Amino acid sequence: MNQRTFTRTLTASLLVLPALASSHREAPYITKQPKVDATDFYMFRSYEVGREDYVTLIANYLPLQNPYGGPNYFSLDPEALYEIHVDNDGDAIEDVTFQFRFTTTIQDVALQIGPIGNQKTVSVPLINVGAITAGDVSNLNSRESYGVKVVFGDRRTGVVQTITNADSGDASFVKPVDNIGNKSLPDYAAYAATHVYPIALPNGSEGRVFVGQRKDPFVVNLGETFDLVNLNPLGNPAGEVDDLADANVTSIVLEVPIDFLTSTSSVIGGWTSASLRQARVLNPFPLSAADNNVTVEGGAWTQVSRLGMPLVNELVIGLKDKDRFNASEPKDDVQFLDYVTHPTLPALLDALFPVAAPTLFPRSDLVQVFLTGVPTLNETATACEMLRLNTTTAATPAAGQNNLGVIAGDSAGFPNGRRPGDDVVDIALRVVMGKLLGAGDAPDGQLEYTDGAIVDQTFFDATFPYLKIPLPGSPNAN
Amino acid sequence: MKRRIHLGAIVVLIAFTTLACSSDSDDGDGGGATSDAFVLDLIDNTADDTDPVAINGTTFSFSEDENAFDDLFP
Repeated sequence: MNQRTFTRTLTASLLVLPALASSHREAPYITKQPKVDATDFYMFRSYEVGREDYVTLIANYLPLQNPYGGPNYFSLDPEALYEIHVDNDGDAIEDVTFQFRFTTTIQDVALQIGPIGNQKTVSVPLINVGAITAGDVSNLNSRESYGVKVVFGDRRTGVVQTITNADSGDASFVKPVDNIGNKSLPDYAAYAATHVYPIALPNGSEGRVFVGQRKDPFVVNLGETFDLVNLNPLGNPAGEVDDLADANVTSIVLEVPIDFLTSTSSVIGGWTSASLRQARVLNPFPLSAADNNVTVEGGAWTQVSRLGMPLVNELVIGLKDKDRFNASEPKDDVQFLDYVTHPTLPALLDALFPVAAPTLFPRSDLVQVFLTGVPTLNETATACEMLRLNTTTAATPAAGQNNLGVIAGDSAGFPNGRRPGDDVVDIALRVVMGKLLGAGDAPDGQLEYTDGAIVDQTFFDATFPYLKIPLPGSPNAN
Repeated sequence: MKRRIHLGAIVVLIAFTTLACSSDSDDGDGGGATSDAFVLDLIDNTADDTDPVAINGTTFSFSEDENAFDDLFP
């Protein structure tokens, strides 16, 4: 290692390297609130056969779930508000917002303990006391349900309408219990499938919803990336380990007709957010209760997590501003402009490896990808960070999808929306190093950068909700 | 019977430590506030259609009233 390389490497090591998990624990504060930590957001024309006129939106939360994380596993936060926002007129302000709120209820399953004639009824410590099947959940001790509302206009002051089950008319939906293991849930796929609901939308159309645990769809060589990119970024795109291969996540999956989302433009922008009440008081003397009485929370909803385009709060936003980004809205994104026009990631890669970062400043190419959309494809009027989808771009059937999306000629892929099989890490690496620039501005811009962990459409189902069932907490066969 | 809440009652101002708010200004009013009263006021005014209260620039004073939040709990 020559002196220049050593100095540059040392300098880089003193910086905080960006995390390459799409948005898993990406900001200091959100590490304290995993239940409201948005990890990935997907938005794409549905490519399930027969559903071409729909858009699927997926918001994942609660990262790095060890499948064996019992006895409580990974319920969502009843005190939180989970939202998916859609801007349909290009002004960086939400026009349609889907709101999800969850309820956890303890059934208080109890057993008779002691000799006959002198027994006591004692509550069990587990969330299930026997097998759970699609037709019988009586052994389930803790149950989650949720409601869905849609807000037209401002997410706080707009017109609120309730979304109901199109078959039953119910406004409450059930979230399946996490995949405890093969003995508790001998056929998790069949069980979870009963929690895909048809929904009635306010305009008379119908869609589908599913909320539940899934195998984390994000693929990344996480450990090596955190370790000063301890890998060959020009190596085999499938030559490294996916560090999330053993992790589950919790998914909010929604499918709605295209014309429910669009308005004056065929291009829509989407992002997810989670909010908590502004104030919280801990109860020093919780009571025995079927629901939360450990805290009293109140005040206005206060946003603590935000996610549109993948990797932005990791690769782009500086450490000191990550919490601020999570609390921000797209309409105010000018405050983060320098992070896009003068990005640090290429300089870090330049320092760590014998590759040259682009020399163009401001980085107009990144402004297009991250803030305005790609001209003639999914550009919108107002610059802001959100995931943009041109809803007139026909979906590519699963078998024909290219995991590098638009830069590989598949215009239905990232960054024109995002599908589960899009390898956004490799795409992002290539774009930030100058894939869209000429050789004069990016001498190494056409190299095939990779984190070595590959993902494509074969990792997923070709039908709603697309993401695979979660890994079981107990791998033993029943 | 009202439960006695000791000094161990912890007030967590979510926004105080981490976040400003999504209102038009995140500068706060620059004044002072008593934490107990501030929190109780927030909780009393819980709503789905309001913006969070900006707190940047606000100086909080923390009382040692061990009964300040008794009325919040059953």
